[in-house]
This record gives sequence, C-alpha cells and structure tokens, in this order.
Amino acid sequence: MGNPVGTRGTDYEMVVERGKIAEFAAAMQSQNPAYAGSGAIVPPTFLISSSLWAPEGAAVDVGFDRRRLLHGEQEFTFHGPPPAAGQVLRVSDQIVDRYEKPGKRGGMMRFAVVVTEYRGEDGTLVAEARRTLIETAPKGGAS
Amino acid sequence: MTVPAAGVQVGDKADPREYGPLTTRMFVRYAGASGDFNPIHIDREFAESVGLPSNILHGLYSMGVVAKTAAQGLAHGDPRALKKLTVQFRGMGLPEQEIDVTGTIKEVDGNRVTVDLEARQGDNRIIRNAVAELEI
Repeated sequence: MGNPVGTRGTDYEMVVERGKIAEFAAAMQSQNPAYAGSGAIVPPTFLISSSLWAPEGAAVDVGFDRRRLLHGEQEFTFHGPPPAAGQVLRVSDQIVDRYEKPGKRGGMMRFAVVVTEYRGEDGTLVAEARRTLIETAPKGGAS
Repeated sequence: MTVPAAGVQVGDKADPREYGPLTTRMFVRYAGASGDFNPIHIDREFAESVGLPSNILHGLYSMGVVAKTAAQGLAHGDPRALKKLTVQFRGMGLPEQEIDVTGTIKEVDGNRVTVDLEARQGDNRIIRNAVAELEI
C-alpha cells in the first residue's frame, strides 16, 4: 500500500562537493563558469543527486508497482542563493499528497507527491524539490 | 499590474535553444552524475525488453536543458536568477535526436519574471507546461 500522507523519511546529510558539481555540469554539457572553481554553485537540477547520499531505508515508500511507475512532474524551488560547494545540507523526504484518478483505459491511476527539503546547518530551508509519481492503471482495466 | 523589468516584457521569447544530438554515452554520464542508474536509460536491450522503443532520456536531463534555456535566454546565463522551475514530463526523449527548447515570458512583476517553456524532439513534446520563475 505504501506510506500514508505525512510520512517523513529519515533525514540525512548531503555535502555539496565541488567535484560532484563539476561532474554534474559536464554531464549536462554545461561550460557555465558558475559551476567551476571554489565558489561553484549547484546547477538547477543538481539536488536530485542527493539520493546518492541517502542511507538504506531513508527514502519514503509510496508503494507503487515499479513496472507501472512514471515520474509525472518535478519542481525545484530555491529560497535563497543556490547551494554552493562546501555547504552541508540536511535532506528529508515527506509524502505530502496522494490521490487517484480514473485511467483513460479504465482502472485507477494513483498519484503521490513527495517533497524533499534541503536545509542549511542552522535549519534554514535552502531549497525544496517536489516530485509527482504516477502509477498507471493495471492492464485490462481491472483495479 | 505588470511592470516592465530589465528590458523584458510579456510575450518576449527566450532565444530558442537546440541541444544535442543526444547519445547513449551522454545518458550514461548523466546516470553517474545524478545517481539514476535505471536501466531503461542506459541499456537499450533492457529498455526494449520492457516495451520501450529504445533506451530513453532521463527526464531530469531534459529538465536541466529547460533550466539552461531560461537562464541563458533571459538572465545572461546566470543560473542564480532561477528561483523556481516546474515541469511536466510527457513524452519519451530518445537518443540520436536533438532537443529543442522554447520559452515565452508570461508575466513580469518588478524584477521577477515568469516564463512558460516547452522541450520537444520534433513533434514529440517531452516537457510540457514548464514554468520558470527568474529574478533578473
């Protein structure tokens, strides 16, 4: 069934590393100088790589069948300057919404919205990522 | 009330940007950078075995090029201008093709600019209803 709305994952530490920023920027074919040097900031979608820091079991479980799982929407919000190399962030996931809609070919599609918070060492909310996951209706419309 | 800011106005278009052509090598590199090693992105045989036309692009990669277009087209390439970006993933991005990104300013309020964007490969709209908020 998956975890209910309000479920929080275990929070964990993410160190924003200069080398990882450089690797990410290169993978995005970006030569923007903002991502280079000691003052490097993170590219807009970089925080998705926080999953690499998550210990086993830290993520919330929406309980969807992986074979029918789609990533429907994604949002990043920056509440101040983007995180920079050397910064240490506390990361935590929370399920903030779940709902269902009838699928176009029958059955029910299930939706779950997960917000990841990125906080500075003093607890300030630095950035948020919000993703909407979709489980498509089972084949044949039975649900 | 819409106030003109920094020489931009509602209806202005970001310079359209073309990225690519994409290659599976790029997908592999992005998998390493992002930590998303789902085989549908990097293993063509696996992707075909689960009914996909090919290995497919990471949605977050296409979101990255949308962000790049917003910052380069309207904030002189400064990614610090981007305060918020929302996208809907709708089509599958495929290797050996380019991605075209377009953006139009929807709202200007002081130095805050809201832009509607879209990413496509030919007629296949892979990101729709993207909205970027910039402070320029």
